[in-house]
Amino acid sequence: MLSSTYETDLRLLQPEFISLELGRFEQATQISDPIVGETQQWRTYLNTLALLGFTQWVREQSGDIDINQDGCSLLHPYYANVLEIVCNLRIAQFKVCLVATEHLLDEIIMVPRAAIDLPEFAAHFYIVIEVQEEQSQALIRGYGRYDQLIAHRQTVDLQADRDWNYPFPLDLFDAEPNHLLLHLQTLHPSAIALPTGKPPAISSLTQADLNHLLSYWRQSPDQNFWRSLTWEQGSMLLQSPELLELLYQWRRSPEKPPSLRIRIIEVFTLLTQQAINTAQWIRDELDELAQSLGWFSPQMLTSGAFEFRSLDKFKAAIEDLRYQGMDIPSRLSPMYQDIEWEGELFRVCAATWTLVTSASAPQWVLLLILGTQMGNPLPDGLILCVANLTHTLCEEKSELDTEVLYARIEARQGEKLVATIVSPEGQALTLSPYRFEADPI
Amino acid sequence: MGPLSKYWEILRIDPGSDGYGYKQKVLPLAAAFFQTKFPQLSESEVRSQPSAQQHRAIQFSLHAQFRHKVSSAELSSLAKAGLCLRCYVSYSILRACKKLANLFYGTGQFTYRDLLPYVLNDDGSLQIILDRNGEVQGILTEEGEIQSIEYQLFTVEVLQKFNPHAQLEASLDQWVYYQTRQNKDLKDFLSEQGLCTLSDWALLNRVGANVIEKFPPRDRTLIQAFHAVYRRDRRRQSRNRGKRCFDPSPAQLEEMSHWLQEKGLTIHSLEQLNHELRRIAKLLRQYDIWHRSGAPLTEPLEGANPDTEGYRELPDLKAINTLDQVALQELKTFCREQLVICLDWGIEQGLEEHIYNLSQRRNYASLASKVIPALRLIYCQGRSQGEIAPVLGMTNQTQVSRVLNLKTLLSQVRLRTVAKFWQVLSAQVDDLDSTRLSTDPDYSSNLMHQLELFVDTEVFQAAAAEIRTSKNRSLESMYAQRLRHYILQHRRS
Repeated sequence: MLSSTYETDLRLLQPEFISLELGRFEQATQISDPIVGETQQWRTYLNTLALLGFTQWVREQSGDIDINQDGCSLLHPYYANVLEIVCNLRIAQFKVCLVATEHLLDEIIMVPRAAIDLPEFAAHFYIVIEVQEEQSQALIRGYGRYDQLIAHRQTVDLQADRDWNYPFPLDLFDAEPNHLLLHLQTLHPSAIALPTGKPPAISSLTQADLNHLLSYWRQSPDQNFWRSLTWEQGSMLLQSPELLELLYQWRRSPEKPPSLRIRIIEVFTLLTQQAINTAQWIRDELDELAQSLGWFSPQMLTSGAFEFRSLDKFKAAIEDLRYQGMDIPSRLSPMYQDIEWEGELFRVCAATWTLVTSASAPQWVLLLILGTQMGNPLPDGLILCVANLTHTLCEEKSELDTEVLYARIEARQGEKLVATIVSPEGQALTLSPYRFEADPI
Repeated sequence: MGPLSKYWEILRIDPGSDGYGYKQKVLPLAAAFFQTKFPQLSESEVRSQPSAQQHRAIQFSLHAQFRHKVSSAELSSLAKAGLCLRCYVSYSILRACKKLANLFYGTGQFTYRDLLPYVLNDDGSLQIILDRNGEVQGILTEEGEIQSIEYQLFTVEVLQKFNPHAQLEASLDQWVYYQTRQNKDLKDFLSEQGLCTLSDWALLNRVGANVIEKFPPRDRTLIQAFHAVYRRDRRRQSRNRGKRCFDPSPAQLEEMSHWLQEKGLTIHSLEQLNHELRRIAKLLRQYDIWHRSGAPLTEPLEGANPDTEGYRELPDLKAINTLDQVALQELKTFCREQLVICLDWGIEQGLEEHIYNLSQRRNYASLASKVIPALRLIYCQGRSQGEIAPVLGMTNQTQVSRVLNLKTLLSQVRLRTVAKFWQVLSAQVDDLDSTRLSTDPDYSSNLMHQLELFVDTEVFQAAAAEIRTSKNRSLESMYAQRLRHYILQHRRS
């Protein structure tokens, strides 16, 4: 028989195809419903069909391969909303990305830069699945290994396009999905080295950029941020799930409530700004960062100065809290920061101490007291809130003639806290974050 | 890139040939010329596969001779050099047709065989020569005269435009692919047939940003309106699944019309809107519109390692290690023996899996027990799928083919056979480096390709061709035989 001695084209003649059953479409509709914008909804819909089809295929081919979808980007709307493909599917011990496409006529496979360059999303295998929606079927068109894609990128000096996608040629992808199964069964995950390491904490994304993005989404929530941010800025967002989730809520919310905006700024501040180490306060010391932000201790004052008269008010407030039954150590070294904002001269008093508890329980306490420099009452309707990365922990509001607002927060070692002051008019000022890290003994 | 025989055995179209659509023809003129021109290539090298680099050197040399300005005395060797290249090119054309047809799998109703008439039209019977400018001068007759030629041979056309000197140019294989893709008649065919199973609305649904960009602003806005309304609804209405996209309802057209108005685009009537959408859908049937604009070939033309680059064309099993001929023969015999055992295992496992999967599907569970009886009727009694439907209590041939799904069954058996074969070999062949298998993906990929090549050549290519042929199936492939064997045994047990 002809030409059979050197070529096998079985896969060209008959790609692996999967019939999509009715229930799959219902699931795909459900998963794509909460996504913002028709284009991305449709994308997510196709991605879901690809995921359901592919996992069905793997199970049918080899029932004993372990499939884990827990971390799968598709099942987290804040990821599905910004990622064009399915990331973080786990099969056996491998990370897998699914690239769903509606056609391959241009013979180009678009893989988002995030799915290659960021350790969070990079995968051992990238599987191309053509979803033929009207025909209710999906074709497994091939798979590429991470190392092969990277090698190709290097060889041809491939650059991402303006929507942050790498255009890879279809030829790079092995059309035989059985090879993938054999790889999954025989290969050790370390055989394909994935990128590691975290990006630097201080990013190039400023609060002004973030504000710009929030206003942009007020106008057009359907648009992703590819073209309004640089890659460095965008990659910082993509690697901050907490922020990504809030931004997703922002895009989804028709009202865009101010409280959400404050929450976004808080999380952004926690993620990007250096936190003051309050552990040193116990020894009456201020770190350089705190000093640069204008923090001071009462010992640093020349006594009797006119503008420091409200210190007594804060001492009285602490006594008052003790009297009310708050557990405050007898020896306390409060620190102070003056803030001029919205035409008012505010003063923040803060103190910390440790708790003796088990390792999993809170280990330190932050006491924050907000008053004014002159000792006069706070404006009516002023709010002080304190938050960590995941929650707003407390929110206090001043009433008529309130002299101070306070917050007592218990936190874990390494946990950061951030305070925000909201004026009666709704303006918000988020202060620098706090942390507590005892010096190693 | 294949064996050297590609330079003197041309592929030509042959609609009758056993489901393949083409056949091979030895051209003694080309063979003799090739052996004179490259005497240093020994017999064994001819049998084995030269590297991509060797191929390139051969092509370079042949091409230089074909395009060289020569005196009339040398015209004959010019034509023969061209003949050798035309033979080689015919294989690349076949492959290009397969690749193109593959891209349309599921959306068009054709196979690569339908593409061959447009491009595989050279039977190697004519000796063609070019003039100084690379234009076709004519046919060189046996008497050494030049006759004019009426029509263009696609192989010659491809070679005329090929420039092996250009640094960034494609390899000949890639060049042929590109030229085939650009062939006018082929493009017309693909525009006509390529997306014929998709409705206008499905076509509009699938348009992505990069294709939208190719349309004028007004059409772009129309497509966006369609997505905002029709595609949104399509996604939501999961009860319509498995059905073709309906025509947009008046309410949908109305909503699109409003949407467009907000964007400052006024459509006078809903009929007009419908008409315009259909006009765009018609454009979307054009093959060209789905291409990326810009450079036709963006893939690397030269990989880091030219020997392993390109489509998985690897030498046979001897590449596992440098074995001498005797050892190689032994290995092949061993492989063939083992293959039958693995195939039997694959058939058993694949069938069990197939039946199990069927039993798990709501609408087919009751039919799972009919698989073996149905296969028995087809493979042992030579009945057609249509004939056996009533015998098994199925409604029609479509249901039989869904239940049996011979293609899927084949691919399940193939997977299991290859996996088993892989297992057996890695236990038996000392030369396999087991640590490397789990740590070097290239090494294991290469081995897999070689095993698969062997297994496909011995078993599955013929089996697939047999299944593709709808009429007068012979069912004599090794796969069919072993399947029959399994079914008969199954009855006994």
